[in-house]
Amino acid sequence: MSDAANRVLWTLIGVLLLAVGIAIGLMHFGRMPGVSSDSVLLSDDLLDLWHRGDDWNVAVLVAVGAVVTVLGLWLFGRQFRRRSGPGLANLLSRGDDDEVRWRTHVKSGALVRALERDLVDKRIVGAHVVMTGRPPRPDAWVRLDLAPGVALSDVNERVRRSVERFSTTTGLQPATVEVTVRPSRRTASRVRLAGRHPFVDAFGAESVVDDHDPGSDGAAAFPGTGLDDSQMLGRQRQ
Amino acid sequence: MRAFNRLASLVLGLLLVAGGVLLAAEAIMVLLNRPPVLVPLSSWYDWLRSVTLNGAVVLAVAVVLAVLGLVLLVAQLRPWRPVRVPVTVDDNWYVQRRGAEHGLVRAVDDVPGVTGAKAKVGKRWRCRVWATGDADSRADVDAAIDEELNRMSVPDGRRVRVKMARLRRVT
Repeated sequence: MSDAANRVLWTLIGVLLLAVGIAIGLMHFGRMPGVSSDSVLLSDDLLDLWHRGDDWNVAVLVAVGAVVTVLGLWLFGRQFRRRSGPGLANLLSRGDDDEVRWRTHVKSGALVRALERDLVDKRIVGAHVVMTGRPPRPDAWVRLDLAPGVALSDVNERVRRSVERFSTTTGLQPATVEVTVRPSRRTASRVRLAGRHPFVDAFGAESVVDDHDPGSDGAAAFPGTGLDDSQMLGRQRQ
Repeated sequence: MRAFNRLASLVLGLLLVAGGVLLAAEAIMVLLNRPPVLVPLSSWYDWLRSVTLNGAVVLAVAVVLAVLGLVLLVAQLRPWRPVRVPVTVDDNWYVQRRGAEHGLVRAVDDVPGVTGAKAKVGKRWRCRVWATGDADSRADVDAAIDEELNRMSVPDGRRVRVKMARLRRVT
């Protein structure tokens, strides 16, 4: 159930409660036409009305109870589904060759996850995609988590190309692509080690340890210290 | 408020389920001429036949319902801050409002001389920023806010109000 639908629901409940409260207040002060403030809550007129349906009134209550239960289950379940429309259905294509009749099922979830993976790179650290509607023109709702310091204009092209690749691969051309960006809460780092060890510079050593080189054993000793770089790193972190 | 509405709807759903089951169960017990499951029907009947509309309890119920209804109406009808705000990168691009606020706070906090910041973003990028620090940092704060808003491709019609509070020095 969408936020807007919940808001409408609770607005209507507010109106109903206010109206009922005012109505009861008017009855209390004898200002409601046709209702005396001296009458009891369960008046004789109400009892007569109830007894007019003596053969079926209790059965109606059972039915009302069942309807209220189903309504409650529906309302409870809908809170866990935020989008108002159905998700994209699986793709099914059929064909007839000379001797073979074939069918191909493609799960829409797999396609959507593929798009999410295609969107992610060093600037977009997370992507979540929801597709609704029907092929070949579904609607795409994209949420992107950006890396620190990344500008939105930097990722626009990436998103456009990912959607193009998706369309080319799947044959689906999203009618609308709505993108919501969540900027990173972390600050962009101002210090980049870029493969050089800070203690190399501090001690003036010529050897450079490349942290990203799988061939490096990282065990170059630092002159005058008798320690290798992992031990120096440990000391640095302390 | 959105989270409150969702939680309230969950609770309302559960209450409806419980109420519906109880109503159906009690009605079935009446049909079968059995004693009630939970609700003492005869006590309720006697009470409802004895209390009049001009009783104090009726007024209390009326006031509670009306106040609850009014509070709900005010809470639902007052303007809510948007979940996301549009940006100019492309059609149908938005930035999450909370993320934008955190970004502004971070940008202002990083300015030398600023010790604390708070930001609120409203509809149409009406931004309010509160910063605590040296008055000399004001120009840098404005520049940091502009840079952050440009990074988020905020439309030109944005309005930014910045309030600088002087840092209190304890001597």
